[in-house]
Formats: sequence, structure tokens, C-alpha cells
Amino acid sequence: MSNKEHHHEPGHPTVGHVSSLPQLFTVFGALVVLTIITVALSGKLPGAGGMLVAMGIATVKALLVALYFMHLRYDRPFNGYIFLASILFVACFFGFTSLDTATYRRDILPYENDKLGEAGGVEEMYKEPRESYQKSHNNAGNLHTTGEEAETAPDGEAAAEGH
Amino acid sequence: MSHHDHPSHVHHHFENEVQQFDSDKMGMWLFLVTEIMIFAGLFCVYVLYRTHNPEIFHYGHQFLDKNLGALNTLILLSSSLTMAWGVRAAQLSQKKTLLTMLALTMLCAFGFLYIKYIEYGSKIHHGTLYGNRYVWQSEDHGTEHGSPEGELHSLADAAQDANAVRDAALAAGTDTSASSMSVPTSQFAPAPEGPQSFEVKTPEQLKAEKEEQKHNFPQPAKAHLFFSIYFIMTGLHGIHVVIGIICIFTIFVLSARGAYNSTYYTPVDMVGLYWHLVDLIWIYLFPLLYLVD
Repeated sequence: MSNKEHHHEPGHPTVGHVSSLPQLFTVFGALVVLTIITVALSGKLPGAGGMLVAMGIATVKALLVALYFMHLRYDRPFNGYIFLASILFVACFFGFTSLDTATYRRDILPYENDKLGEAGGVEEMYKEPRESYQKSHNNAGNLHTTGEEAETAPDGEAAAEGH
Repeated sequence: MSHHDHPSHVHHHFENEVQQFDSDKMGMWLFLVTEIMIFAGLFCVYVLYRTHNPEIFHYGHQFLDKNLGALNTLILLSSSLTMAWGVRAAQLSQKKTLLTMLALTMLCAFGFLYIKYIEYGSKIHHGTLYGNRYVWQSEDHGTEHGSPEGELHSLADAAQDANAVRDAALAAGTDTSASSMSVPTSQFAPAPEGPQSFEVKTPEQLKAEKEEQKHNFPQPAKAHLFFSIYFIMTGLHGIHVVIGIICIFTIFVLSARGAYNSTYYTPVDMVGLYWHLVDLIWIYLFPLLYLVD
């Protein structure tokens, strides 16, 4: 967009956008601050929240890099459309491959219950350690069977002691 | 748009330098999109495996040093800044600044690779590798038990010690005499001392220990999956860093010969775009692999 402004200025390019140094440093500062925030927050938020926040911050950082370092904000819009289209296709890719995720949900229930401090967690899987040890070596569906046990026999003790 | 005022750097099949520049840049963006798609495949693998096996990721990420990861993030961000500055210098015909910035960018890239080398080295040392090279704890967990020092004397180690003790105790029934506990033959270090040594422990003690480590999950089955994903993702990214260094070095040499100035700087811009994409992918890799919680 600034091509014409600089056209006759000597030492300035006839094509492309020249970023100002203050802008580059501001963007860099923001990226560093966001990185520090991400690291400081890690492990502090419960459940899936931590990863969602981390991914949100990463997306803001990615946008800063794309818009300013990669000049997309000042570029021909078509290049931005190409970039957005790729993100759209990636979203489709992820979406379709994740369609059957819920099918496997019960496999991970013991683990999630444990993380939340609820009954039927991983502790259940180790109630009879020898047994679960053998299962994990003889039976490919180990997690699945222990998951069922955990569901049918919830343990009040585990719930009381979890935090 | 006649042909007689065609500058030498504009190819004959382009009307003018604006058209040439726009075409070059669009081509570069199309290439970057294919790169995004390559990595999207790996990110998709990550998403699926993590959804189906959260315990593997929760366990595996403890082996990564998040300070080193954060340091590498800052190094790559700095290199992006110097690269963007370098592009600016090329646009303004500031040859010295351009050469300095390209050199700094390469320095950052080597710094990144050096830290990756430290990280990979420690994983090779501890045997936390991909696929069947994963020997951190052998399949038959109970007969072989490494006790490596360094990176990881934390959760995972304690949990595994407890596991080994527990398995041994169970194998021996209620008799937990030392003679039946030939279990933890260490490959890397002398037999551990102190509270972690494999002295006689009563079932009550074991139970108390287990209670203490309630949230230190023992090694899940197929824990090597995390490291397979870690190595393929950071490995492909590392290859991109190496290619980036080669590209930056090439334009560094050409810049030193005065190939670029405000009338023609397209290769600097293109390499810059590539380098920023490498940075952009790391921006996602870092939290996904190092900050799993």
C-alpha cells in the first residue's frame, strides 16, 4: 500500500513495505511477554483450561509474526487469503480426523477421574497391582477393562482423598 | 508498460518489477502453505494421540526441560526480529546492517540447534527415545531399572522406584526379605542409597509410599509414543532450521557481493518469510510438547 508514497524517494524500494524499527521492536517485546506469560501459566490452570489458554496465546503470537514480521498486514490481500485458506483446510483436516474421538472416551476415564480427584481413577487400576501388571502385559485392551471396572465399582475412599 | 525501460533484474516475462515482486511473493506464500500442511499432518497425529492417550503425554512431558524450551523460543523470536530487521536493511540498501542482521540470525539459529543438541543428547543418554529405542524402563519393568542422574530425578523416577519395589514385594508375597529382591539391577549407576534403596519394606510402608505418590503417575504403557511424536516433530522442525541456515548463509554471501539493494531484494524477503514460518511453527510446538499440563 505504501509503494507509491516512496516511489521517488531515493534509497527506498519501489516494491514492498518497509517496517519501522519501533514497530519491529514493539512486536518482538509483545512476543517475549506472551512467551513469559505462557510459561508462567503452565500447570497453574485446571483441566483443559491451561492448554486452551496456551494455544490462544500461541495463536496471538502467530498472528503477530504473520501480520508484522511477515508483512501480511501491508501485503497484497491475496497472500493473506492463501494463508487463511490453509488454516481453514487444516481445521477441516483436524475436524474430520477427530470425529470418532468420543468412541475412545471410556478408555481414558480412569485417568481423567484421577486428575480431577474423583472416584474410579488410576488408583483403581493399581488396586490389585499384580493383576493390573499382568493385564498390561497380556492384554492389549488393558486400559479398557480396568476402565469398566472403575465405572462399575466406584470407590468412595478415592473420592474422599483426592483433591 | 513497454519493454525498453525493463530493469535488468526484471525477467522478460514480467511486465514490470511490481508484477514480478507480487508473483514471487505469492509463489512463496503458496510454498509456505505446503509447509503448513506438512506440519499439520504431524499436529494432527499429536491431537489424536493426545486425545486417546492423555496419560502418555502427561507422563512424557516431564522428561522435557521447559526452561530450555522457553530459552529456545526466545532465541527463535530474536532471530525473527533480526531477520525482519535484515529485510528492512535490504530494502533501504543498508548493506552493513543487512550483513550484521543475517549473521545474528544465523547465530541464533546455531544457538537453537545447540540447545536442541543438548536436549537430544540427554534423551539419548537416558534412553527416552522413539519407538523401540525407548529403553528408559524396559518392557519387563521390574527386572531392569535404570537410575540415570541429571534432567530427571523428579516425579517419574520416584514413581518408578515405587513401582519396582511394589512389584518386587508382590512377587515375594508377604515375605519381603532382601534375598528375594534381586529386582532393580541398575545399568547406569550404583545401587541407590538412602530412602530409595531397596531395603526391607513392610506392606504398610509401601502403601504409605504409594499414597504419597498418588499423583505421580507411574509409567503408562506405550510411553514411547510421546517420544516418537516429540522426535518427529522437533526433528522435522530442526531440519527446517538447518535449511534456513543454508538459505541465510547463501543470501549472506550474495549480500556481501552487493547483490541486494532497494531496487532488488526479493530473495532476502523470501528467506525472511521462510524463517518466520519456522519461528511460527515453533510457537505452537513449544507449548504443545513442553507445557502439556
